[in-house]
Amino acid sequence: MTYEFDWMVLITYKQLLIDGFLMTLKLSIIGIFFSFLIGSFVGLLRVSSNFMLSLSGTYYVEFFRNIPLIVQMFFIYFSFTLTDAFPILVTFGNFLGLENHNEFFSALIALITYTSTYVAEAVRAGIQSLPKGQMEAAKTIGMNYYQAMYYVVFPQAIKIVWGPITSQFLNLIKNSSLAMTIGVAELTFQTQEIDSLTFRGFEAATAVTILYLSLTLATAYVMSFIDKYALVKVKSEAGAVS
Amino acid sequence: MNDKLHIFFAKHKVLFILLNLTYIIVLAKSFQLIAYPNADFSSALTMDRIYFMLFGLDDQIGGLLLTFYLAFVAIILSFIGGSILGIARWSEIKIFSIPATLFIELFRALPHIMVIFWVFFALPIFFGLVFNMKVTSSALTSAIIAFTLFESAHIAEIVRAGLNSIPKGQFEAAKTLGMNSWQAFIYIILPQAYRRMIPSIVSQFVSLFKDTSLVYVIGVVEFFRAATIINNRIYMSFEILSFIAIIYFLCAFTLSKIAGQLEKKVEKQINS
Repeated sequence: MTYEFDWMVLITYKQLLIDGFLMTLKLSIIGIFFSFLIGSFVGLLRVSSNFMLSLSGTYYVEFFRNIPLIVQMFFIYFSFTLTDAFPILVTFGNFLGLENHNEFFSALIALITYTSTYVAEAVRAGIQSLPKGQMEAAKTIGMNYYQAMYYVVFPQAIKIVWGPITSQFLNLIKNSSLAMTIGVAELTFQTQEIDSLTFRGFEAATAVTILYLSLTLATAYVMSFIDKYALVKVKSEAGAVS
Repeated sequence: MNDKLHIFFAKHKVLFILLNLTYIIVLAKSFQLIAYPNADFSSALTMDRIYFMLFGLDDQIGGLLLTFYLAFVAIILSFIGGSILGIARWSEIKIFSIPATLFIELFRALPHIMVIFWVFFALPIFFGLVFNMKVTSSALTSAIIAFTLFESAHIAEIVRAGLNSIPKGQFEAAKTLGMNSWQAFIYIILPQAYRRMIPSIVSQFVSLFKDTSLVYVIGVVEFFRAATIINNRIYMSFEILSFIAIIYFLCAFTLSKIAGQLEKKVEKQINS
């Protein structure tokens, strides 16, 4: 039993790979943006001193974290027609140049809910790891709770937990491959496509593996870049305050 | 008001659980009424369907039982593999540490679904190419191999972190007692490191338990696949999928609570 490699297949079907890569990129970028936004919000809810607010934050985190991502995707995709419920998604999808709106947004929403719980936990850990004096000092100079949170506590907390948040974003990129199960044409889906067209899954999988590796490495690099050049200001301010 | 609630519920834990239960039931029911008013659970979830989802067919293991079986076998195998890899990466001998690092980084950077595909489709070809023999592996075996591969990469990182957390003084103290390096490592360093790793390994088990649903793609009839089989037949996705979501939630939530308790216990032991 021998297997002869034929790498030309990648050049013949390069359009499929490019399309898949773009789809993964779209899922990842929008997913990262919204999961950071929602995750920070839920993390702030969890550290809130209001009992009901922190309880609802806990509900959100525990609920979406303990259900497998693929189950969430299937649940959203098979139980609801998102474009009927929220017609604005059609506009947004057209803007992104999509063909199958329902599949894409089901996968996207599941990815966002799943990843935002981990981001929320990271944000909560970061805020709780800061000394209480930060909040109190901000209040003594006349800030209210929200100002103190926004200008003093939150940036420092983000600075501390930037590493874990980065790894969660990388997880999101990897998890976006699950979207193939409901028919979003992203990278892993295109591997299967090339495999079924030409029976050359081995070469396609190699190419896709390399693409995933470069995507995760690039994201890690961008995140450390942000850490170095955008969050460095936070550090100096924190040093001045404490 | 809020402080009073906190203190009250810290005292009466049973009341807190009851309050949560009522909340969850009210929330779930109102969600169902808003999102899917004509859901019919009793006709979708008959006894034999639930039995199939939980235990599979009569003559073979399947369903939720297979999910647990997969998770247990894979966590034990990857515990062994992860220990070897983690120690290899932690050691300062380059012939061990460089391949281990490469392996760990590769499998941490790959999507889990790609690893499963690689093992299922490419491993037989690879064996045929290199050792010139014909290998046919069932979907279940491929699933276990794939889980072992990427989960040992994750556990290796836990092992390395555990080994790094042991202060160097322990090693030096063991040496002054007359032990050689191996004895010091096996009798002094490893037991302490493993005790610190237990909570992380349990939470890794929880994430592996959730990841077992991925073998859906290669056709292992575990819990999620069993549910989709039934869903394909009767097409009552809201009922079926919410049922499996609840079961997954209950299992994973209980396990993660156990992990949290273990963590507290281990921390107490270390600090005392």
